[in-house]
Amino acid sequence: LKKYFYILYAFLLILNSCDNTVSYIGEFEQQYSLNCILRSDKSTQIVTIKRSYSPNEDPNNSDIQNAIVKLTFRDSTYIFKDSLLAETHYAYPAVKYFYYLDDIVLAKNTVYKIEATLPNGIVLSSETKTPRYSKLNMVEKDDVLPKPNNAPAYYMWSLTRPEDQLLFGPAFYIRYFILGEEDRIIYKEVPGFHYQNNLLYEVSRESLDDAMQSISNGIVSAGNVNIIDAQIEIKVFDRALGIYVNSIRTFEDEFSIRVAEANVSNIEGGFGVFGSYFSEKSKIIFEEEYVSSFGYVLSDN
Amino acid sequence: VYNQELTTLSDEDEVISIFEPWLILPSYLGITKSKHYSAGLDIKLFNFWNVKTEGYYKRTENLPILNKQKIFPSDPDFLSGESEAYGWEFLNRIGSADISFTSTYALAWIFNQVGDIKYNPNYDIRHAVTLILETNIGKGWSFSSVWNYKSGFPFTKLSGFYDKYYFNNDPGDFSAFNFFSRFSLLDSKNNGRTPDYHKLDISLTKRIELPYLILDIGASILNVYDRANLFYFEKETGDRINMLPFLPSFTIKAEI
Repeated sequence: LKKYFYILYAFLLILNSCDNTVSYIGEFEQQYSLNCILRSDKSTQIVTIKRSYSPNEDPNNSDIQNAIVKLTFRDSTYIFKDSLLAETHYAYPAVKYFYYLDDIVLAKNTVYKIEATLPNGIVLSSETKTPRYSKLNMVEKDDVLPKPNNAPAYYMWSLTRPEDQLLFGPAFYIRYFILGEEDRIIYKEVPGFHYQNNLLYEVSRESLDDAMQSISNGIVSAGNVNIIDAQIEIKVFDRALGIYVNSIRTFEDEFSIRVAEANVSNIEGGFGVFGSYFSEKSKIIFEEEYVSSFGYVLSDN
Repeated sequence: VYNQELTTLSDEDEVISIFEPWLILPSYLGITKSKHYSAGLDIKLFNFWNVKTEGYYKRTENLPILNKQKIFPSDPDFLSGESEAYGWEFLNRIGSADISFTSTYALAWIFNQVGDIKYNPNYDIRHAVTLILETNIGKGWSFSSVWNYKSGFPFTKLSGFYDKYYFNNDPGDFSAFNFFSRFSLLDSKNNGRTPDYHKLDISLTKRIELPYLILDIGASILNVYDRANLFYFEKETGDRINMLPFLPSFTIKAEI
């Protein structure tokens, strides 16, 4: 028996001394991302370019400087200027360096091409076609909430000149501020369900109640919460931006969250997104009795 | 032929999937079906010696795989995959009423395929060995030891991060200055393997039978030779977290 234990001990000793190391880190390959969303409501267009970094690296310097960024449309090419944000109030990882182009008013139904040549010669490029602006009509809108009998609220829209390539991003927000911070309007999104083919968004009473209730989480006195109103916003995206926006949504409806996020991009040579959109917003009013049932105040604003 | 209408949901990009909820299979996938072929021998050499061996081949269709390319709410949560598994298992047991020694060995290969991507899933463990020694020393004393060995299982390595662009809640502020969040860039699916896992646990128990009461007093040691077995990696830092180290414990169990 003694011999058996000696053999066993020697075996375990050898086994325990075997290589037990493994690295979670694979082979790092330097990659780049470009983000630019052309806005129809602003004349300054912004581009950010960032690099990927290895898990052992300081992520604070991921902005790429000194790239040549060109925007081409209707046979004209414009070169972005680069700039530095002296201070940023955004949380990590924030943008420090960016590129901008002034006095660019978006034309409708136009192909825009972007091309960024990085200092190391790598080129990131993409193109987008701006939506052919057509008026968005709210066909159905429950503009006073809540509805009787806990019924869900419905918002249906149509375009006067529909396009196949457009995607919609409906979103429902409660707007509020905290007493003493009147200048800072906070948006609380209420998850709803988007019937993709029917141009219809549904916001259930449960979802609305949950969102209202969660506003006072971490707030000492619910009476300090001033509810302004709600907004239904319909963003109309070009196809690439619509896919990107849908891919990063953290919820599918009021009952489901996403467990996986696809890494979609329309940037050739890297990651990121280049797209354009327009949007329509519509105001929703709350019944005072409903707001006060949560201990909040309905603002006069 | 086996059919199954329930499945667990796991994220195969995690080294260890701690939370695996059970789900009823969605109707668009169809029922998971598998054809299982096996052949084996069960030999009783003597009264105290039993040997079993079995080889198997299993092919599974409609295996639900999490759709990581889901974009729209209307896109399916699962994709239909296929699985192929084959291997060989061996069991040897020698024992009498007072002492028994059981050893098992399993050799296995498992492949999953979704579309054109073929990979070894997390549960593809090539070699697994278990040795169990149980003895009844006498006078109410019993001793047991269990030694487990498993070769490493596949996992997906992290190759880096990039700052991915997200949008603010504020609908009026949809600009390139919206917030960025660190997004993991992964290597090819399950291209890494964890180190081998092995561990020896021993326990000694004394049974005391009193009138109207049976006491079991025990002492045990988990991970006797303090093997540093990998539990999981911190995703953000890549830091390694190990399983329980050398851990002695004492127990008293009373049966009335």
